[in-house]
Amino acid sequence: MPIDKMARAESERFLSAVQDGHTKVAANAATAYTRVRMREEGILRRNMDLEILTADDLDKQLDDSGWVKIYELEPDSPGAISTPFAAFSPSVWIRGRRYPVQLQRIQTQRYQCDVAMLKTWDADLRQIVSDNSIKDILYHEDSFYINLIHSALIGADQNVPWSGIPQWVTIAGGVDRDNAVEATNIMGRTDAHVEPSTGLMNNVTWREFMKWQRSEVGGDMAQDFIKNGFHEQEWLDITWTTTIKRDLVPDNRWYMFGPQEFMGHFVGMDDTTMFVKVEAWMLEFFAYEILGLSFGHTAALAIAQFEP
Amino acid sequence: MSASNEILNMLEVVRGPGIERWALVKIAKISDNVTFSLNQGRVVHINASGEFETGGTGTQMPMYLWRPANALDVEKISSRYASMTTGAYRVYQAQPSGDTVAFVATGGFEFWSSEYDTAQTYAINELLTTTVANTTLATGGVLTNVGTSTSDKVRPFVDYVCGVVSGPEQANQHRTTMLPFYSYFLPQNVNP
Repeated sequence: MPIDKMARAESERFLSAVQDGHTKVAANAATAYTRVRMREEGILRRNMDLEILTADDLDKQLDDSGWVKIYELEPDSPGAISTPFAAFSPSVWIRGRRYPVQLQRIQTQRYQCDVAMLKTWDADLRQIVSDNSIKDILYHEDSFYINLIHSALIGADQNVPWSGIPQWVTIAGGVDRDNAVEATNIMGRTDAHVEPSTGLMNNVTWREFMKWQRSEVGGDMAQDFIKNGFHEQEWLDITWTTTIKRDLVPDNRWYMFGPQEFMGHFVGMDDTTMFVKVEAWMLEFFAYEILGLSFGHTAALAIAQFEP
Repeated sequence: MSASNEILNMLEVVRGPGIERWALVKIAKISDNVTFSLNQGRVVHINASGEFETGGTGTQMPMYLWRPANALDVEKISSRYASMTTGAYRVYQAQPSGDTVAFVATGGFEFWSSEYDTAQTYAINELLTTTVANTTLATGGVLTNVGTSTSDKVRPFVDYVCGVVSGPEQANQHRTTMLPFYSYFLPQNVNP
């Protein structure tokens, strides 16, 4: 790989600033408590809106200083009845449900180095490691998001407690047109009548659409798929996100979501923060954040697993 | 489950690395074999599955629990309510992960702990041991100076040693009686 002289110059500038005690110059590269912007969106952050809380938003507990926010669930209603004259309907006490979103700190590993040893690298090692550490945080967020969806939908072809029907459905016959439409019907079959608006699949599964023949996709799109690739983001009346994280989102699996207000809350306190400390010649840095995610309802979740 | 309280059941890290980035700690989940809520300060060890269980025997490294089992950053509070874990309206939480943290005995600490056998009297420099009792709140991971000898004291190179008394029992600023001790580990005399 060619020598990246610009990166080397940047490394040396950072190192000399640090060693000269010019922490303000070093701040241009990475200062203590630098707020770091996500360099790529994770799956969770693309799918759900992050609600930033303040300390005043948290709900105090009697015997613990930990962080929790209590949210409320819409109460269901028993419906209406027809009555004869001079009769009243039965009474029902108004009740509601609440559920918690607890917050927890997520951290990268703590990276350390003698800054003198960074001088022998042409690549900006510090930048590479710090960028990758942010990706590690995003991956961790995505992993607990996907695992939570699996927990909420119980398992393949298992009845979800609220709806009483499977919302993680195995569909035989591959990703053809009929099965694709069948997949989008999973969510709509629950009593909540929520329709999928966003979806997630991996990049390999996404290419299955390129196999669709003219009779399936209609018109000249079949030719366009082979010639130009498949780049539609709006497909089957769903806005799709694709991911390369095939270890989290397996092949031939679609995750579908309704509006977030039918699911739960994704909350955080402050943006992801990068802590950097330089003491004499020792450099240490790590990134951290505080997040919470809970599903108070399962009606807006669905998984379609396509089998050959 | 009995809920621990931040004031009643505590561990104070009075000397040593404390809550520092370089402190020797272990992060792990609490084993399902532990059927009660572990208080801060309880002695734990890592089992073969990499999870915390109470007390210690043999060559199990003693550790002292920092975040209690029912802390909001350890336990999902939805798990305490049948209405959230059974029936139609279940709640699914991603956080917390269930991991907690404990200080490792060889990390070089002096602690004050409320989790000790208050029925005994303690002298400075006495050795301390603990009990593996995953289903017993009263004894599981509780420090004591009662050993297996006829004198009832903990013996070096015989009993499992997980601390050395460093000061007299005393009440702290929260009026909680605490036992000062140095973290220490001397394995029990067992055949490996």
